[in-house]
Amino acid sequence: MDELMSNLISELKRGTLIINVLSQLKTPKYGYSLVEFFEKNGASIEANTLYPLLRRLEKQNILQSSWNTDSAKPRKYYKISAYGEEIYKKLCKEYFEIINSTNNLIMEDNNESD
Amino acid sequence: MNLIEIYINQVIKNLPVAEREEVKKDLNADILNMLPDDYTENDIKKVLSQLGDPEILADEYRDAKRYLIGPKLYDGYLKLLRIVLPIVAVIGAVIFILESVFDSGSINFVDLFAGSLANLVNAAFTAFAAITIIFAVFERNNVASPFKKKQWAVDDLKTSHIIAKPISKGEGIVSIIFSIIFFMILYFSPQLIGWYYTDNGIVMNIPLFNLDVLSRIMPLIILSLLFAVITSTLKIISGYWNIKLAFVNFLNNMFSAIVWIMIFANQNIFNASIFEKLSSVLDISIIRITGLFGIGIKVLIAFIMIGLVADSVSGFRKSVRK
Repeated sequence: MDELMSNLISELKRGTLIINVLSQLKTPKYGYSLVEFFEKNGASIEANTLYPLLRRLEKQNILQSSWNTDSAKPRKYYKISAYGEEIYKKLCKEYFEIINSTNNLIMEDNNESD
Repeated sequence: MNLIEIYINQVIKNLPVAEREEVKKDLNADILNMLPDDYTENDIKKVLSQLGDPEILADEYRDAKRYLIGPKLYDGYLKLLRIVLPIVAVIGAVIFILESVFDSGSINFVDLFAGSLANLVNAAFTAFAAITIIFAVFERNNVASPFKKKQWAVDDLKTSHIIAKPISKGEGIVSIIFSIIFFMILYFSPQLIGWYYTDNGIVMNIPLFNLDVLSRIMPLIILSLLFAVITSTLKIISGYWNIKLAFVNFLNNMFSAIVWIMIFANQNIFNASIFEKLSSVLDISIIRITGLFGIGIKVLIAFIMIGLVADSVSGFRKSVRK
């Protein structure tokens, strides 16, 4: 049950992963800062999922990156591209439609069982 | 080398060469940013265990396909294996048996059994490897499955096999195997078909066919057998009757009818000495023997023709059957 549940939950979360990441990249951020941010905001994402995801999104031209080597630790900052903005808007629209219809379904189900 | 370097190397060794340097740089920065300013080996261990198994992480970085044959091609791959493997395996065994019989003449059954079994397995594995490699190449190059028709549409249901009769695969396989055995005997050792007798303990053999005449019509026989193998293969692949298949089947039968008639129409195809031998053994005059033989051939041809016509008609009937 526990393992099944955690699999189901991670499957559910996977759908919102990209939207979550894109929503935070209006201003440039580096990988670990995003990990920390999401952990504080209850949408935690594993570092070993996020880093490869950022790289993939960059390859797809949704993100753009720049290195900051001023400090002792070099940092790769990611920021959403103009193309990424368009995609993000469309994804948000889809997202709201999906939760609306899912909400309706759940509500109906609740009303029937009452 | 410190732990971080070892870890990163283990991640990137599983990546395409072109990606390695970049991922190395990214990952190194990511790991350093996860560590406190004055970090100890324990801190490193904590961060690395958070990132987890390097192979799994490499998996996330890699977007290339990690399978040989994907779900789109898998069904076609299995289908082809199921058709080709048994055929190739049996052919492998049969070729071995024919070869050893032709070469040595004497037969040791243990050797023959072991040898044909080894050849069977060998042929099956070779075919398996070849098909797998071909499909893996298809997968890498995004070639569509050779068995998959364009885009599925509901209307396909109306014309599809549901209304037609299925074709047994075994029948097709047996037909292919017999065509090949037939070809090998006729082509390589037609003299083996004949009258065998012993003379002072030595096995003698009078070939049934006049080998010169036979070799002249050999191209036609080969064409006909090739046609038969192609038809059987099409039947196996389709699995169900349809009009096109029935038509190919009909053409194939027509062609074999012509070849059969050409083979038997003139008695020159037969070796004259076999008639002499029969005449002396049965104590009947040669003229009666050739006369009886002629009637026998006509009856045989008649039966073959009836069979071919019946098969063609049944093909058409089965393709329109509701």
